[in-house]
Amino acid sequence: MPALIDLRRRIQSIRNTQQVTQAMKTVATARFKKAHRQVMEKRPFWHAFPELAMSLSRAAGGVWHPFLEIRPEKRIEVVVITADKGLCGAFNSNLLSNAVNFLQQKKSAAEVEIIPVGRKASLYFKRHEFHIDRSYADRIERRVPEVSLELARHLQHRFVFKEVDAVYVVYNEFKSILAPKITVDRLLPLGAESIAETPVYLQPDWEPEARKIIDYLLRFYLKYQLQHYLIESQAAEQAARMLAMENATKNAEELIADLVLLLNKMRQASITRELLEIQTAVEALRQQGV
Amino acid sequence: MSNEARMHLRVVSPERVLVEAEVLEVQFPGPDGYLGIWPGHRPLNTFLTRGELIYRTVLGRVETLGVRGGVVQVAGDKIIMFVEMEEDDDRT
Repeated sequence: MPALIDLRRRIQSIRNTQQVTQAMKTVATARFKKAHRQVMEKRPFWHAFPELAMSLSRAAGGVWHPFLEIRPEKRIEVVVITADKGLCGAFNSNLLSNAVNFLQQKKSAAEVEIIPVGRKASLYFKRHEFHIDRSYADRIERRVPEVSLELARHLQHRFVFKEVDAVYVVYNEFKSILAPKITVDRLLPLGAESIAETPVYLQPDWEPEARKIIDYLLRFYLKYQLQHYLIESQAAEQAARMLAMENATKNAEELIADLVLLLNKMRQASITRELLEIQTAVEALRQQGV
Repeated sequence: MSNEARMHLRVVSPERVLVEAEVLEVQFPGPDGYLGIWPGHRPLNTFLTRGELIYRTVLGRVETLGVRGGVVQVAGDKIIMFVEMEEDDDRT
């Protein structure tokens, strides 16, 4: 049986841990709210924009653009987006194991290069045999616009100059607080597979010519699509951390309750024992007739 | 309000939905200067350049919005604009 003092120390240490997890939960909740608001505000754009891009591309009728060129995938580039920090449950590890599955699948047919985004991904892929093109780590959340712009430039350059034939993105999409959805998206060539019927209007005028507008639109799209991935991933990360910290706090609570019960029982036992000893002593003295 | 012909204007930036309104008239900086759109305009796809987007709502209010660039689709009585705002770049 552990000594009382040890138990007390242990309870105190768990209390301290609980305070830390509680504080981290509060921080994650605040950050999550911010990220969630961003995601919600930006969703209309991301839903409406591909539609417009598609309908314009169709209306333009066979305008060729380098971003739309589908080539056999001999060399591909995969952007893997994780968080910088841990303590968010299985958020990073699930994503990384999914990413590795995807990479293994692709590796048999194509040469694969990786761009890890987020410190967890960067460290993880350093230990693996995959070829790393470049990596982004540390405080991505503070510089989303710059990082997404730089990435967009880099990726479109490599794609247009045929250094790679396709670009994929693996990231955690924010679906609900309870579980992020791991998603693999093809970023380039831009998807023409989802051709939905749109109402046919009069043949529209183009001012200036269609090619220029489509070009602008696709660049615009690429730039903000990457930002979209980063922001979704961040919202999902904060949600995951919030949940993980809440569970940790709850677990600590249970552990403390158990230990306090044990402590009380032990204290009671020791008091009973002492009482017993005193009684015995008193009894013994009385019998000796002192 | 009156039975005046109206159009639905929707202005979206990568940040958020900026305008969602029934309007009577829209003016915006096009590639060759300001362009006015009234109900019944031909379908048109064009650019938005730096300047002020001005629109008159069905309530008669005239509103303006500074934009840096974007794409405009006029189709039937719907106008969709995807714009980049002035402040988008310096935001951190």
